Amino acid sequence: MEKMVSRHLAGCEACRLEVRRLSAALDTAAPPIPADDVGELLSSLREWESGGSQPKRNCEALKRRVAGAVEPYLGKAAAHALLQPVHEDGRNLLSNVAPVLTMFLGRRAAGNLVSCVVDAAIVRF
Amino acid sequence: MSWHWPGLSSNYGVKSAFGCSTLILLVTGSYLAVGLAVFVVWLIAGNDAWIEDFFRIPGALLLIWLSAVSMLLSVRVCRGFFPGEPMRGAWQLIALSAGSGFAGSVLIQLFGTKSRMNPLNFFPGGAEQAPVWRSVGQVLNGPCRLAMLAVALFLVLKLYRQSGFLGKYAAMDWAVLAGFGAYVVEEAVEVVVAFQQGKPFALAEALNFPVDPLLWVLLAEALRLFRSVHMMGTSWIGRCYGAFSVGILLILAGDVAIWATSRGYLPWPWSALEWYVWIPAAGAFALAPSYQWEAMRHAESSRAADATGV
Repeated sequence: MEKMVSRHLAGCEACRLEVRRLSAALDTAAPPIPADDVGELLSSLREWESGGSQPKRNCEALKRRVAGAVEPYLGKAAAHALLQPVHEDGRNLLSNVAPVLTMFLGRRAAGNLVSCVVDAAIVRF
Repeated sequence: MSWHWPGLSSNYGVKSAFGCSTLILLVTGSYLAVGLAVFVVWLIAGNDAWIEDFFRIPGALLLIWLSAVSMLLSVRVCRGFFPGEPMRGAWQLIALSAGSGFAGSVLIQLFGTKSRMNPLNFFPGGAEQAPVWRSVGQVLNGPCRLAMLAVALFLVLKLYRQSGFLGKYAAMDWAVLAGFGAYVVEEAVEVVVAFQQGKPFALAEALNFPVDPLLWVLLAEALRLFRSVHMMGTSWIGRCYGAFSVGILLILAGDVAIWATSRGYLPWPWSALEWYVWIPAAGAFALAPSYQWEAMRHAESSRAADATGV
């Protein structure tokens, strides 16, 4: 059984990614996060929270960044049309964009792209 | 906090590294440029061997190569979608259509000609079988391929409708559809009249009857796709389905040129220009899956590129 799984994993990038994700989630022996990184994260969170009084401006900036990521695949007008109905707090942003990307690019390609958008445009921004 | 990802930078456009699409464009463009030079030399020198050899060997090889590329890339795109995904069904049919086109091209360009490349020449009496192989190739490359493509593009248009990006026909599109529709009806009437007058039709000829109605359906789909792509803006996905539209329009142009030549509207030697239409048409059908495949690969690698700061 293990051999079969290993053989499948050797040829399937999607499953390898899943295994890596599961392993990372289950890994209790993960090294402690360096203090510098924690400090950087906290300062970013403070910055992000202090910008909370201008949700509209932040949302527009967020939409611009997501549009920049989606445009090469779907086109400028399509990106604009998908992002126009997004709420000021951006809560329905992904639910608007991800299904169309998945429809045209497939679950595997769109999944990676959406993860990247979330990571670069939302989490790290 | 700084971040860098090409997909999110403002100056990021629809550009890809030197890939399949660039190679297809370069090879097709170079061949057409050389082909036009050969055409001019042929007009000046008046030696038919120039143009005959040009189409019989390099032209035939290029058509086979383009149809093989189209088939391989379509299969790769199809495998990029998981079973059950709506676009997988469409790409399965596109891959089957491309496979039928490849088999047809091999039979027509290799086994169905009097060329030195024909492997049947090495067998006693093999060359006499060439017309049979050519007829089979024409059925595979004609009605079989076009019917599967028509169903595939219908599924794609259904998905465009679901996504809310289905474009609308313009007045010009209706005029083109009406014009080509009249041509199809006229052709059908001619066939019926000839049949009633007792003209016998060979099986291969009869099997090719659906080509013109299928081309009309494909024209309707190509125009709708073109409007939808235009509505969404320039993109990889748009280029993919735009390339299908261009390929269909070029096949139509070739079909109409054959008709115009048979009616004497396109005199010799200008009618020979019709031969050049099939190369860019095959190029467009190879480009379409190439753009889709590049888009999927780029999206799949976006996370790795982000991690490495590319």
